Amino acid sequence: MNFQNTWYVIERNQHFETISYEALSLLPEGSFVMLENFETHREALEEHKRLVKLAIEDAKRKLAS
Amino acid sequence: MPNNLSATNFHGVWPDVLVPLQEDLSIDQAKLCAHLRNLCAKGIEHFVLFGHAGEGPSFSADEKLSTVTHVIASGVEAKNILLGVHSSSFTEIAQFIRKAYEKGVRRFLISAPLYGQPFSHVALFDYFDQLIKQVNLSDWQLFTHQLGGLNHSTDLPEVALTDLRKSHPLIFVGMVDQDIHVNHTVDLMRSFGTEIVIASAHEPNLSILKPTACVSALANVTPNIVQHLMANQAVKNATQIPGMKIAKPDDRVVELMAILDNYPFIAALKLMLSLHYRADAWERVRPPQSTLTKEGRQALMGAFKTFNLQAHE
Repeated sequence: MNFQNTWYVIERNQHFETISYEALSLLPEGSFVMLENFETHREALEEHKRLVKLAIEDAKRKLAS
Repeated sequence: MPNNLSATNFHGVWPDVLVPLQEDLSIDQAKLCAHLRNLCAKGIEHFVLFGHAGEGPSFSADEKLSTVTHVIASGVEAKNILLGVHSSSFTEIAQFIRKAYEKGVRRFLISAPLYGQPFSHVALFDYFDQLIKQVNLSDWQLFTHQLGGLNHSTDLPEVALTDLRKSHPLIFVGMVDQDIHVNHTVDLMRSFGTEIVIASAHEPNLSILKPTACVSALANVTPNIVQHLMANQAVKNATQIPGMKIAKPDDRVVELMAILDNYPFIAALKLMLSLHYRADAWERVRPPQSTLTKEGRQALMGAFKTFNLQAHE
């Protein structure tokens, strides 16, 4: 598989980020959690959006309890 | 056609890939391809599809073939697939192999036939001999799946394996040993280790056995740990504090196995993967695999939190 033009959803400093292969390869090893790799930017952003929504729901639940 | 495949190409970590399911318990092929893609991005190149952790016996030949087609279309090279085959009919297995062969798959993982009675070594040899003759192709590879005490299948005894190797040296090239007892794998390595590949499937044994290949269910969730374990390296840690003890890969494997020990193995691993992907759908298993109880799920989630899977693992 060729990953050069692909996109990653990562978790870094307790935030989700969508970054390109090039940007990811510049990050220090171990400074992020690689969650998923996607062929297109759009797919990666969709997943990013889903994860943020889940995090908001989690936070709401915690505040309510 | 001559057999251009080499058993020596079978090396490194081969994850026994967990299979995601949709709500109707059919295979979620898109999610599976995404999982393989993510493992590839973490340095994994080879995959066992429909092995033990991949709930292989639960899926029909058509489901497997359709999934293999999707996986290959998604960019996984057919030569990097070891495909689990499950049936006690050698004609059915031969048909399946020929169909998968047409798609480019060349490596097949096959266990002994399942019956309610033990078989003689001659009968088991005949079964595999007939199977190979029915397939009637020369450039494919058979890996026997030694299940140990996992179910009521009969493991192939050494004498049957020796006969099989003598009769089909280009086809029968390896074994995957699912037995958790290290001595079981050591015995196989002593008997066949220089001739064929013996891949252990029990990660806590890897640091002792130092095999050239392993089939690993844990590699679904901790691919780097298993890769480092195979390479006999420490995991690189981003934050190293002087005096702080850094867990070695085998420590982490033992720790994880201790957590998983009291739960249905496949369901527990799928829960861990569902937490990693934040996708509850990953938790589904296909009957007869056991699901986790509500209490078990809660306890496991707590244990995984304590395990604290790190970015580099």
